[in-house]
Amino acid sequence: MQKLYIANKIVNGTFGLAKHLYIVFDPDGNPSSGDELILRGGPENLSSPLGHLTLELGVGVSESLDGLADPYYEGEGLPNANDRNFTLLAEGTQAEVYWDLMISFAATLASVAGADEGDTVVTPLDYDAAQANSNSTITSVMAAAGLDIYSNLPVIGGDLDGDGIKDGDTATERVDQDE
Amino acid sequence: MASKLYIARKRTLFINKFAALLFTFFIVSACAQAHTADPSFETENFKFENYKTQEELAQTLQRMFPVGTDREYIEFILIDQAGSSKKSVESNLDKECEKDSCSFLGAGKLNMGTYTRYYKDISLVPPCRALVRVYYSGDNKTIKPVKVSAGCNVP
Repeated sequence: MQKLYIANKIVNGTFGLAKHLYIVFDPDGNPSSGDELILRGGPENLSSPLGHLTLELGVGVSESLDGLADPYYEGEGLPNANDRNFTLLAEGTQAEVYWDLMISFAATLASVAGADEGDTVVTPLDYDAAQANSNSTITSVMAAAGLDIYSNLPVIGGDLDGDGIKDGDTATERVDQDE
Repeated sequence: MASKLYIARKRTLFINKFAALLFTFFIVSACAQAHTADPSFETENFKFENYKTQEELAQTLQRMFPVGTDREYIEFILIDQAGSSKKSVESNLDKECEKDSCSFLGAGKLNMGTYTRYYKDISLVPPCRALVRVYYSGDNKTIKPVKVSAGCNVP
């Protein structure tokens, strides 16, 4: 079953204070199988000035800068879903509906004729680490799908089942048993 | 007298023309420097820092290292000359990718093959890094186009 996650990773040199958000669409519901697609924003250039805001519109995880092509990722295989705080936003048909809305909206930001899923596109917006950045991109695409970012921030440690509690934490089960 | 004035004007004109030529030469030289980002430049002059975007870098490296390039040559350029670091990555799977991008095999298996990863910090503030993934055959020649990614670790 399809699943949609919000994920993040720490920005180097910020002692964990700054994080980079991104969205993951997983067609088979296994977040480490390699079929995942990533929607992200980031700078165009590789040094200052950082140029325009550039979007990955559902790029495969093996080619995405938040996947295997992340130049700062030094592990083997794909980045671990729990390390990247994958948190379930929706599953099944609803996941697909949200994903399509997000991709469609992101494509309009790009102002590139024919931009579609799988493309990397440069928007006319100037990248700004404090304003038009990856996090504002995710906030905007989620809003376009009717999702509030503040109610759906990633759970530290990951929440693949979407119960609002870090995976592996048995707090929910204990509460249920007590009841 | 008139001829002296004429000669002086000619001299001034000559000096102006010379200055203009000199100026043009400097502009052309400056442009030539900037064109180190052009894919046609000498491979031995390659520097990661000369590339502004991932796309420019990828195009250049893929032209520099076509399929069949020796590992020794790639490592001379990327490590000895351009200062990148190396890490070999062994996939836990036994097949190579058959297509340009790795394929999904099902049952939680991603076919990534075995490759060597070279990376270089292009900028420290903001932190931006380039990553080159190279797939070698048993006789240390590339068996597919090099994969290049580059990005900044920023929000």
